[in-house]
Amino acid sequence: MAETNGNQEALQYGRIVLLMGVMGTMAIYLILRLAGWQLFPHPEYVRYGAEASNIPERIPAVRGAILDATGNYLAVSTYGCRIFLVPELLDRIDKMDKDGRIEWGRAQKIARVAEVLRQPVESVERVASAPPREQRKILAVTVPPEVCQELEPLRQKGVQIEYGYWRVYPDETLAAHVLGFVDLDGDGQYGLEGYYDRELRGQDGEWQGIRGPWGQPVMAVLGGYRPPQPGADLVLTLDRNIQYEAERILQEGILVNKAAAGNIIVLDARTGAILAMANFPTYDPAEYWSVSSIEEHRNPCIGTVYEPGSVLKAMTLAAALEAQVIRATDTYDDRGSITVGEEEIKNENGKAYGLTTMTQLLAYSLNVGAAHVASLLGPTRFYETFKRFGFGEHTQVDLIGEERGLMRVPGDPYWHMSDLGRNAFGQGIAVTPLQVAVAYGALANRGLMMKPYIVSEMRTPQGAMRTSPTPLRQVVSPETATQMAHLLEEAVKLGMRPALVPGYRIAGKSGTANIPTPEGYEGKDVIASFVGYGPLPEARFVVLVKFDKPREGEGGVQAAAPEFSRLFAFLMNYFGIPPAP
Amino acid sequence: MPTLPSIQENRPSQDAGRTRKGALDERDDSLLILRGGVRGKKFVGLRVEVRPVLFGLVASILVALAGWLYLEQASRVIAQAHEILLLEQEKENLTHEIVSLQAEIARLGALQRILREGEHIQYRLPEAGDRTQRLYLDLAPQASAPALPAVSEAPPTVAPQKPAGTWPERVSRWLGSLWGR
Repeated sequence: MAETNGNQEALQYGRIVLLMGVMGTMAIYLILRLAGWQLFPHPEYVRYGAEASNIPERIPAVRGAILDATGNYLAVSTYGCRIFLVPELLDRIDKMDKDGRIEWGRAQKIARVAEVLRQPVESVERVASAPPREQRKILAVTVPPEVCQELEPLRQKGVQIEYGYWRVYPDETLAAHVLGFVDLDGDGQYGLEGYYDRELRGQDGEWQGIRGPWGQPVMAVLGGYRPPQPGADLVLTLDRNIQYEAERILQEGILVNKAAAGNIIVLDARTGAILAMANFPTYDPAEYWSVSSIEEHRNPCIGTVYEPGSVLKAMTLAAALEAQVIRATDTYDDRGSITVGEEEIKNENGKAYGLTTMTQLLAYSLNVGAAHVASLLGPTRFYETFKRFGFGEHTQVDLIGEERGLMRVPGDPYWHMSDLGRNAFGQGIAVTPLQVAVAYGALANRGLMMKPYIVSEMRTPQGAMRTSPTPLRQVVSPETATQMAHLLEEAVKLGMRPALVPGYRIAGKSGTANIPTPEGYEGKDVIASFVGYGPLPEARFVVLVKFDKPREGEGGVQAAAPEFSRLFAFLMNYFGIPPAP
Repeated sequence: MPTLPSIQENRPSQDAGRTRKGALDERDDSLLILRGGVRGKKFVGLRVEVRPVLFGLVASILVALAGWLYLEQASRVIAQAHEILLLEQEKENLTHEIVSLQAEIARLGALQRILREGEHIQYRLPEAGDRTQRLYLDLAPQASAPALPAVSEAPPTVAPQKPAGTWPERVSRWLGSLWGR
């Protein structure tokens, strides 16, 4: 009996010991395991954790706005979404009812999208059917978020929705080439959007933290939230009212003259501020992809070179006056032709004008006279002055895509003495419209050339930075500039009367340039332009008007001068400048 | 394997009773008898030492307290962090709203829209250079303008104030004025 009791006791004791041993082992295992996880974290676990709940999320910064000189928005960001159609998914039947009828087929989806976006079904169908089928099609931009919410059920059924900040250009095509655009990736392209992309885009923020089981953010980790820094706002020197009027006059001028294209630049001669820069044809930056060629995005005022023709005669005479090779009152014997560097140069109409004054040279735009003056001046001084006028160099304007033009100078492999005679009346030299306007700006500003600029102020959260007018160089003396103003004023009165502005004194010069082809200057097409400044004696504005290929080869006087007059009269009225007494 | 000296089977035998009594005499305050129940006719119980149990109990309480403090702190931090997150989201929503309103201002102020609205009310845009609406005023002084008063003319003067005087003088003056009235 006692033995039996002893065995039971031993068994009981053994069970307790065994149980405690098992529990102890498990506890030790758990402790060691926890210690292994907690104290010696394996990089793999860190990576798992980061992947599961710690993925950084980008918070996009708001792109800065672009305002005109009067404080109105030219480009601004808005929050919304873009709607894309994916034809392959659109064609898929996503849902059928109990009777086997299609609930979400292509037709139903398109009808629903059209209903929500309030667009005709046909136009949505047209977008969806456009080739190529493999590529998604953009249907709508800057759609309000509440509208996009209605399309969420179709998200995986052929409709893509992208939320974010999108660019809005409230004045549509106004100043499109100056503004540029923001592409679908959010990068600024062309114009100011391209040039100031870094400043405008700001700095994206970041959120990094712990997420719930469905990916919803719960809390940020320490230092995991970096707020976005909004981009800078740009205030322009460009005035949208002047810009609008310039574009209106340009379009009407193109219609009247049946021209292929045209440009207008309005410059403040005293500061170099660009008040208007109009181009036609143009495009809508909000739908920048709707162009036949990406060349249409390029700003022709700075990015397209042309042979300016007779407008450069003013520079030739200014160079000669500055070098005191001629005086404003001098005359020369115009025989209808002159040979410079073994090349015979004739007047446009082939006539000889006999004893001719400098005013007549400019008024009747005599090539022989200009070549004569250039040959008196000589190539060294001629090209030195032309370089000072900025030809062949960037104007340093704060716009993207500027061309420097082409001017061959002595020493260049292809320069020939005959270039001197042709360059004197604007042939054989390639310039941009802005270069010509800036050169005339120097004449208007008593010989002092100002750097052209279009952004007058940059507003950042830290403060505002204003652009100060920057003098580039004294191109000619104030005396020469005054003499040129007088000559050009008289020339307008004598030979370019359509440019006159009643009540105001203006100086200017027309240009009619043949368009060079690989075969030479054989075509009938010309580039007609007029550049003028005023109101004299203290000129404030420079206006350049240019038409490409006007009908029947009409020249600068017939095609461009009247539009110059209209725009200049508008400027006088707009700024309230009273007529000269 | 180490034995467990603190746990012994309690049997009602005489020897065992002596042993238990002796142990109780020696460490009466350090033993706790746990009655496990009766198995058959035998009394089964466990003797446990109080000190280790108390120590374990206190340690458990301390650990639980530390854990509770940690959890309380962590949950508060998480609650605050979540609150901050909600505020950040609210801030972001407000930014979206500001941006949308800014775009609406831009749309309403657009030149094209103003012109379209103007067309509805038959507003005609003046022709470029149309000066009929403008009146220029020459603000320069003219020769025929009425001459300003000559400087030599006597400027307006202020009547000299009487000296204040001492207080008896002022009182007598005041009384005099009353009398005169």
